[in-house]
Amino acid sequence: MLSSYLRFALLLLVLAALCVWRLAPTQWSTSLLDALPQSSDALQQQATASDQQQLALLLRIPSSGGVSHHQWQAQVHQWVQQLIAGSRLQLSGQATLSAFNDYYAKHAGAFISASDGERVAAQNWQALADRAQQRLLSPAPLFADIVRQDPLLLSQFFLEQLPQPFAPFQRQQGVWFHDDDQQRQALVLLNSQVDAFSQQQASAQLALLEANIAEWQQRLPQLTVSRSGLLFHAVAAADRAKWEISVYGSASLALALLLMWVVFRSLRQLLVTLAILSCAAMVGLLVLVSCFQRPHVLAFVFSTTLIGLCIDYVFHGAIAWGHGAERFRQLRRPLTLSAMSTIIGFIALWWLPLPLLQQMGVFMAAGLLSVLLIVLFWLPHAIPARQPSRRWQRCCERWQRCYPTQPGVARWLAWCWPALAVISVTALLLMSNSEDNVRSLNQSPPALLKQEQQVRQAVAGLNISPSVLLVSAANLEQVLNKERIVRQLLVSQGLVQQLQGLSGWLPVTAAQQWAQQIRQQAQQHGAIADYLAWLGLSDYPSPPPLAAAEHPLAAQYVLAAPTSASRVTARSFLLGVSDSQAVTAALHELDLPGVQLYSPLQQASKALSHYRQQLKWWLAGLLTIAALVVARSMGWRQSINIVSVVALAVTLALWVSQGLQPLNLFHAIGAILVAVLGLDYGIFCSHGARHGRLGLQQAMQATGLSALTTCVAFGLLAFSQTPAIAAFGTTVLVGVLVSVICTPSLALLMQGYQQHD
Amino acid sequence: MKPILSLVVALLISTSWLVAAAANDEQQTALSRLQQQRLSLPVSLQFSQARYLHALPRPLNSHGELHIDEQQIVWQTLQPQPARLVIDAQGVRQQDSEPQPGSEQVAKILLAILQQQQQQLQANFLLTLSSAQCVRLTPKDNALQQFVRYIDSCGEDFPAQITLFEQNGNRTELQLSRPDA
Repeated sequence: MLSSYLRFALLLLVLAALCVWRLAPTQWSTSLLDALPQSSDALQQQATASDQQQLALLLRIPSSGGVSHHQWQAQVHQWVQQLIAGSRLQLSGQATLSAFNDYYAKHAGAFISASDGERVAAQNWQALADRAQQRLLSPAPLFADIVRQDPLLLSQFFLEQLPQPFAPFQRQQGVWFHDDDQQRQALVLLNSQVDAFSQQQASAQLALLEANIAEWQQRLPQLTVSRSGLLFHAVAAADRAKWEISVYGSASLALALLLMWVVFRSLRQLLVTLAILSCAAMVGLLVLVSCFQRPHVLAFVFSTTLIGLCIDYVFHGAIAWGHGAERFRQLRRPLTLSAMSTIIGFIALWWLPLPLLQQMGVFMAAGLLSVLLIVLFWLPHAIPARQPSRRWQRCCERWQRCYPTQPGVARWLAWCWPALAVISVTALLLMSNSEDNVRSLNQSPPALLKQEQQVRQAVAGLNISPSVLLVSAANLEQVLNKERIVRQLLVSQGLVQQLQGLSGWLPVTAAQQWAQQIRQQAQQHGAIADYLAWLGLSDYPSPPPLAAAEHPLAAQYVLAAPTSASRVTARSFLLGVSDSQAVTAALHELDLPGVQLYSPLQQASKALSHYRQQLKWWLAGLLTIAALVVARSMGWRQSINIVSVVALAVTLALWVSQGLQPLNLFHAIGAILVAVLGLDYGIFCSHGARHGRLGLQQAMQATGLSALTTCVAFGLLAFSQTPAIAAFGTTVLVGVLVSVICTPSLALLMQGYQQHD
Repeated sequence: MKPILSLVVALLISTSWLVAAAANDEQQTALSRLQQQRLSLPVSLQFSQARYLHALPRPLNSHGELHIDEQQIVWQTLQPQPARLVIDAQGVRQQDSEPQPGSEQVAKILLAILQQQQQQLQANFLLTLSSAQCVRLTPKDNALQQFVRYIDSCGEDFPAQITLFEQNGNRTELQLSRPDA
């Protein structure tokens, strides 16, 4: 026995060394977006590549706080400079006022507003001349010295009609300020270059930001800061999920160990179980990092469900061994049957086009195979043949007595389980209520939601993480024209409040023709000639060519083109979207080629929905495979009954969970665990029943313990405040309870059980 | 060595104090000059404006009337083309229309100067004397500095001439006179 321990310890050491060697260079992906299927759309790939997360900080101090307007502005600018100097944050919209002035001054005369275009078309020269003269005599300064190049000040008026974002806030050196009687406010819009869904990067970014805020608040105690942006919510969610998993995880591990102690009263049993679980986890991990260059950390997290399955096999092995070598020999077949059907199921995940599930499948299949081999070939050498405690055995006997044994009931049950399963599955398919929006998977802390609300109330028109319109065409001019058509459509129908894009800062192409028209007619028309004479100018100048690509905001809106592409793509942001489905429908109806709506959040939600649907089919496939495998060993009737009980457990779990929150991907992942555990329980109970009441009793001792530890380990998660985690926990808790309660009844249907009795 | 060092330090302190005191004195003198130019509101004045845009060969001249009260200034141009502008805290606007976008800052300056809002002027400008009767207002604010280099307000008992020097080299001269003058 000692040499057996040594051999296993050596195996563990070798695995640990291999893990260290393989894991050191492994780059784990932590971004949720990496876990989703990559978009095959080139435009969306381009948009994702250039996507930057925007966040907003609303800084406020009381007006009567002893800090003057100028001191406040200086302090804010200094703080912002300090913040962006040491981080991957930059001020949103870097174009400065002087860059705007230089650009518009250089191209003055080439910009004409749509309303002025109509005046030109109507040849309303007198009105244009009078207005320009009044503007020149007004005390308000001109944005640049453009009057010689643009005597009618058409570009000046074009600029004045541009939308004023975030009014009444005024932009100064990249920061927006607004003072009123009560408070001085500064709005800092930042672009974060880190992925908000990447937990590691986002947390580091946020920690730096919060440290800067805290340091400033120490110096200026009356300063209040309201935060808005995906980064804050994503990090808060990840932090809370981590906290909950560690708290619930520790509690459940402690309870599971306590249960094992109560049942086995053996420290060796505990250590052997932990050693087997460690071995399985290491094998799974090694195979995972060998198969995938950049495995996702979430795949590892989901794969902790492995513990629930592995512990199940260890319990069956230990209890059977406790009842003698013959019992252990009898267990080999159902153990292999159960493990192989589950392993095949997990291997089948490889064929789903979803990276996260592929990785989870590989991890689970490798881990389960290692546990199966260890239990079959090493466990009897590792633990003494010792039955579970008498108390546990009596408890299981009482539980067993709850199930009827009359043959009449057996006949009734043979029809009952399949019928109930069909009704339950059909009802769920017809009446299920699902919600795959990623936002609903997380409930942000109330304090953060309040801050988000404060920012949105203070700053009208601010929309963090908006939907993105992607427009592609052969050249920028065509892109801008398409963007204008979409703006006209969506704004006029009230589907969006504003479409923020480069086209909003540039006039329509026709402006060039209008400018030429003015020049040709100006000399002939008295009003313009008189006006030019008043200015001391002899002729109307030619408008300069419009260079849209040189616009200071072009870099912000035009996507970097791939080297092979001959098309130009620009993005614009839809603000104040009332109904995103209506927007999609309107764009579909418009049928403008190269125009599409892209929302990273919607994309993620769609991917989650896709995952959920795929898992539904996978579950159906798993049950079919299990039915085929079990039928070879136990016959079709028993196979159908086991699968029916499992299907019933899964659907009942989903029904109950649905009552608490709409179904999502995490319910589906919980359903996987319920299905594989349910199959195990069904196979073990049925197989145990072949050897009479005692056989069933031994199977129930193991399945009962397995179910209790699983309910303790995962059921506690049902009380999580994070909806995604609670969804998983509720499904597992209910599903495992239903499975463990129903599967012993399958014993009645086994021929051997009745013969023995 | 020690007494010399102490003397140097004392000299430096006293020099900086004197410089600060002199600057403060100048600010005070400029402020009192502005106070002397203060108009009792409401008031109606005639104006004559010459706008020098360096891109144009000659100034753009206009004249008209200003009606100033506590809330607003009505800028009534009579020549070369009748026009009526209202300047208030919201900005510069034509009668019954929206303020010209971005004109709030200009409106605030004009209101502060013509309504002689001493506190506003002190908060937003560095006040110096450019000549015996002229107070020079140099903006402290970055946003204002982008357009305005400085403003001279000249006059003995009221701002008879206000000149706005823009950053781009343009300037606007506003001559004010009482209707009965």
